[in-house]
Amino acid sequence: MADATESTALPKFIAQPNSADPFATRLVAELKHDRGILACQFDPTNRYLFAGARDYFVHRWDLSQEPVIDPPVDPKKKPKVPPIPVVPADSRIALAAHDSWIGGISLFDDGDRFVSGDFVGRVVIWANRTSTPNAEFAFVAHKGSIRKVSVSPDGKLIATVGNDQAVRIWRADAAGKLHRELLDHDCHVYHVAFHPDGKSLISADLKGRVKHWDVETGKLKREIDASSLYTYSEKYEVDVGGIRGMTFNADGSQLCCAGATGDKGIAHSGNARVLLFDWESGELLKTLRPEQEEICTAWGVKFHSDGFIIGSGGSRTGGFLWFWVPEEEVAFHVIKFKQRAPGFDVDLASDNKTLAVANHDGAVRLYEMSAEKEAEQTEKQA
Amino acid sequence: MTIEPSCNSNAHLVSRRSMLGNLLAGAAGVGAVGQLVHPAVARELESKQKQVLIFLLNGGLSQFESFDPKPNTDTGGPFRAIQTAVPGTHFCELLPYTATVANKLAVVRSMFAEKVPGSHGGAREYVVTGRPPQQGPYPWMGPVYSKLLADGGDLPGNIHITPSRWGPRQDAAFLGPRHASLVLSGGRVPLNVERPDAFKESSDDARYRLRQLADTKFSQRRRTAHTEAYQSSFDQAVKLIRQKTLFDVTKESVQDQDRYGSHDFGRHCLLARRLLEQGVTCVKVTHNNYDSHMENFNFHLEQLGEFDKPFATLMQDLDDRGMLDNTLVMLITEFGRTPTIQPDNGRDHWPPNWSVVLGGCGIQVGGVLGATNANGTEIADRPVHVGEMFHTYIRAVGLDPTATHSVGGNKVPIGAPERSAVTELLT
Repeated sequence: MADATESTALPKFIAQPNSADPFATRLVAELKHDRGILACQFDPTNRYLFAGARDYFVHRWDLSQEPVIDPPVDPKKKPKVPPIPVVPADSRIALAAHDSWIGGISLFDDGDRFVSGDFVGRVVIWANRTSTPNAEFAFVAHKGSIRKVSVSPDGKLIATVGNDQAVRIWRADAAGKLHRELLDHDCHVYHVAFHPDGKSLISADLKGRVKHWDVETGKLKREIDASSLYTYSEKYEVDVGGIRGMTFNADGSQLCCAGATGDKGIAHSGNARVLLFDWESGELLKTLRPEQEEICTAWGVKFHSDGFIIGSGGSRTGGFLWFWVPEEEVAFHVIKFKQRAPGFDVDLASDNKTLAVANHDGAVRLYEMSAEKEAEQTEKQA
Repeated sequence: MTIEPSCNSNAHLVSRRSMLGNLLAGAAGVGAVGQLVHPAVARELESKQKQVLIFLLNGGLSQFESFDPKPNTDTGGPFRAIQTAVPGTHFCELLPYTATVANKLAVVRSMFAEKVPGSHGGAREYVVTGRPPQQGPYPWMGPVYSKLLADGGDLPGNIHITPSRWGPRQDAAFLGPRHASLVLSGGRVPLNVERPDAFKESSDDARYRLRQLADTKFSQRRRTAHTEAYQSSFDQAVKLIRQKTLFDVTKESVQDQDRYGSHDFGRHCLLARRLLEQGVTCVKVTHNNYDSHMENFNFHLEQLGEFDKPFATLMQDLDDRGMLDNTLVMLITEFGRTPTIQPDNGRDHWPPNWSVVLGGCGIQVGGVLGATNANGTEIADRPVHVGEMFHTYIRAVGLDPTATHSVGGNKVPIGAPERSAVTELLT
C-alpha cells in the first residue's frame, strides 16, 4: 500500500509556460444531446466537433457559437457550484445516412471530408465543405457492426474493422472500392489505426491481439501482444474485454492500447489499464494505471505533444480522465467527473489544450488544460 | 419441505420395485425405449404421451435484443428489426434463423411479475413454479411434468442439459427426488456410468438385487423421505448405466452434428432432440450469460449468435418429425432487461416486462400476444403474469393446473389458485 511518502514521490508533470497543464484541467462547456455519446472528434480548425451517439445520426456542433449559461431556475438562490456553460442547441445539426448507432468517426487531415461507420456495417463518406455536410458515398463495408474507422494520413485510404473479423482498406475517392482485405483475426475486431507514416496499419481485437499490416501489400507483418486487456472468464465461459482505445504518438514511435484487465465476469468491468508499447520493437514499455484502482474500463486514449498521455474511461460508478507520463505506471493526475458517466472517447483539439470527452449521459464535455485567465475570472466575478 | 409418503403400504413398494426390476431385466443392453415396454403399451404411449422441451436463457434475456425490438428509439440499442416468417411480426436481427420458424412459435411480449426477488435464483423460481419463491418451495416445471406425464418407466422423466459448472438443483420440492432433474453438466454423460473392468454385468446385477432386498426390508419399518431419496438415486444410477448411449450425441449423424454446430449449445440442442426422440418426458436446456449489466449488446450478439441457429434447427427438426404435435416447447428467462441503457453499455434486471416464446402442442402459434409501448418502457396491452403462464404451460399438455398434488395427505394446487391459464395462447 502506498503511504504518504511514496505518494509524494510520484513523478509530477511540470507544465511549460503557455502549454497545456493537466493539473489545471477544467470543464468549460457541455454539448448536450438526449442520447449517450460514443465517439467524438474535432475538425482540424477546431470549429466543429463531430460525434456519434446512441442514435442513427452523425452530430456536428459548431463551436464558434459562444456557450451560454442557462438562467437559474430560482434566481434568488445562489447555485452551490458554478453553472457550466452550454453550447447552444441550435449549433448542432444531425446528419442522417446511417441505419444504426455510429461506432466510429474519422476526419481527413484537411477537414474537408470525414467518414463514419455504424453498427450494421454501413460506411458513409461525408463532404464537410458546405454549411451542412452531405453524404458523398455510402456502402456496406462489413457484415455486422463496424467498431472503428480510420483515414490514412494522406487521405487516400479508409480502414474499417468489424464483427465479421475482417479488416478492410477502401479507396477514399471511390465508393466501396476495396483496396485490401486483411483476414487474420478470429474474433470481433474493435479498433484500427494507420501509423503516422501511412505505410502501416494496425488492427486490434477482442482478445487483445494487435496485428501490424503492410498497407501496400496487405501482408501481416507481426503481432503485438496486448492480451492482458482480455480475459476468458472460466466461470461464465465467455470472452471478456478487448482493446477499446488505440493511438500512436505523433512520430509513431509509441503505441497505446486502452481497456481493462482482470476477470470480473459479465456484469462488471475489470480494472482500467493502458498499455504503452515501443513501436519499433513491439516491447511493452509500461502498463499505465490509475493511482486508485477503479472497476472500470479505459475507453479512449490520446498522446499529447508535450509528452503525456490522456485516458478517458469509467463505469457506472463514475467517469474519469487520467494523465500519465510514459516513464511511470501510475497516473500523475486524475479528474473524476461529477456525473456518473464514463467517458467513451476522448479527442484533443489542435490547440493542444482543449479536450472533448464523449459521455454516456448524453453530452460531449469540453475541458481546457489551462488555468482560467485572470481577466475572465475578474469578468465572471463582476 | 420434504415429502412424507402418504402411502406406506408394502404392496405399493413391492409393486414399484417389481416394475423396476422387470424393466431392468428387459433393458439389459438395450438403448431404445420402444424395446423396453410392451408394444401395445408403447403404441398407446406414443399416441398420448406429451413431452416438453424447455429452453432457459439464464441471466435475463433482453426483450429488446430478441423478441420485442424497438429500433431507432432511445431504448432500442444498435440492432435492427427483421421480418419473420409471420407477416408483420419482427424479431431483432440477432435471431435470423429463429425468425424463419416464427410461424411455429407464439410470442408473449407482455410478461411481468411483481415483487420479484432481487436474485436471479428467486426470479427464476417464480417463473418455473408460477408462485413467488417466498411462498415455496414449490416444484419446478420439470419435476411437475415428470410427475404428471412420465410413466415411471426406465427413462428419467426430467433431464436438464446445462453449461458446465452447473450442479443439481433441489427443484422437485415435495414431489420427491425421483422427479428431480437429472443434470447433464456440460451436456456430458453423467459421471461414473462406466462399470469398472473388474466387475462383470452379472455380478453388478447381483449386487443391485442384494441392495434392493436390504433396502426393501429397511423401508418396511423406517421409510422416510431420505430413504426414498437414496433409493431413487440408486435406481436412477442403474438406469443410467444401462442407457449411457442415450446421452451420446456422437451417435447422431455427422450431418446433423454439423447442422447443429460444434459449440456446446449446438451439441446440447442435438442431445435434447435425441432425448426427446428416445421418449424422455421433459428436457430442459439452459443457455447462459444473458445477465449483461455490462456490454449488453456485445454479450447478446455473442450469446444469441450461438443460440439462434441450433434452436431454429431443433424446431424445424421436431416439426419435420411430427413431434411438435405432442411436444410443448417453451423459451423462458427469469426477467427482462431495463429499457434504459446503463453506463457500461449494459441493461439491468427488469421484472416489469419481458418476452416468452411458446410452440408445439396445445399452443396457437404464428402470433404475438401482448404489446409494449413504443420504446418498451411499459406494457401497453394484455399483461400476462408468470403465474398465468405456469397454468398455461400445464394446460397446453392436456393437464389440469387447478388439480392438486397430494402431499402427506394434503392437497396442494398444481398452479397458483389465484391464477388461470392464458386461453388466447391455447388451441
